[in-house]
Amino acid sequence: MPVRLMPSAINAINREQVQLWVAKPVDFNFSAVGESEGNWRYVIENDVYRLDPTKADSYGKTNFIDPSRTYPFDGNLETAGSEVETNSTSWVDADAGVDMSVVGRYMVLAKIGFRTSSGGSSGYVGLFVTTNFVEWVNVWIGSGTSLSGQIFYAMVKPRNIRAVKVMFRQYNSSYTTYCRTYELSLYKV
Amino acid sequence: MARMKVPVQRIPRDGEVLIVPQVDESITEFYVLNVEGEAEIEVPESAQIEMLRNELENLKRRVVEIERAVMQRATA
Repeated sequence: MPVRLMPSAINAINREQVQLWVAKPVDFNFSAVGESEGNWRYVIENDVYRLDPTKADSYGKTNFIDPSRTYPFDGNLETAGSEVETNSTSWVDADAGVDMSVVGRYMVLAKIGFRTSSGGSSGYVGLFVTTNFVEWVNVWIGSGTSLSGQIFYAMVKPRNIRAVKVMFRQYNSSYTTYCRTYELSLYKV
Repeated sequence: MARMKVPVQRIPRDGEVLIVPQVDESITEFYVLNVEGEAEIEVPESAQIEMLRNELENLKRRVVEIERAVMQRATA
């Protein structure tokens, strides 16, 4: 299946470079991931790429953490539901997870809102991937102490996965971590 | 981005096992590149900037503490 890459600059794409990137998913440096005009936006070695979230293979799929929360897979980077919260110091499910049904290589992009109840105690949010729903491997973690809230953008490209979910925790059980997933997009590559 | 190898913890949870790299608390964001016994992680530049700023602030505080101690000894 072709990679859905849309370079914004005329000379942005280099076929050899893209093939290398596909062959060695972790062997590249990306300097920024974010959003622009409703699309995911990321930079790999000074080349800017944009991806339409409505073209993701996860678009419209069921959220297995909470099927009533459809916003992580609605193709809209601006929509989010109410925050979920925890004061658990162990990892617990947040508000988004998707089962792609087929094990394969996917590029995962996530936009997650995040805050904590205390500037002195860190909260953590992470992406976990699995092939069998038993072993979940942590592939990204963001942490912070923001009281007013911050947005995390993450981009990972695991070699073999079937499902992804967002989990979170708190450093100190006297305090609370809040989060909500705006969008979780998986592209088959 | 900075890469490093860190130990991995396997955490049983409700019939699942979470495989989580054990990373210093000062690292505010990282990606996991590989997990084979231990994990290879990569810290984004944005997180490195925050870590270095925190380190700089800690060093500044330490300098002030030492300066005060030296001054106190000098005037005693």
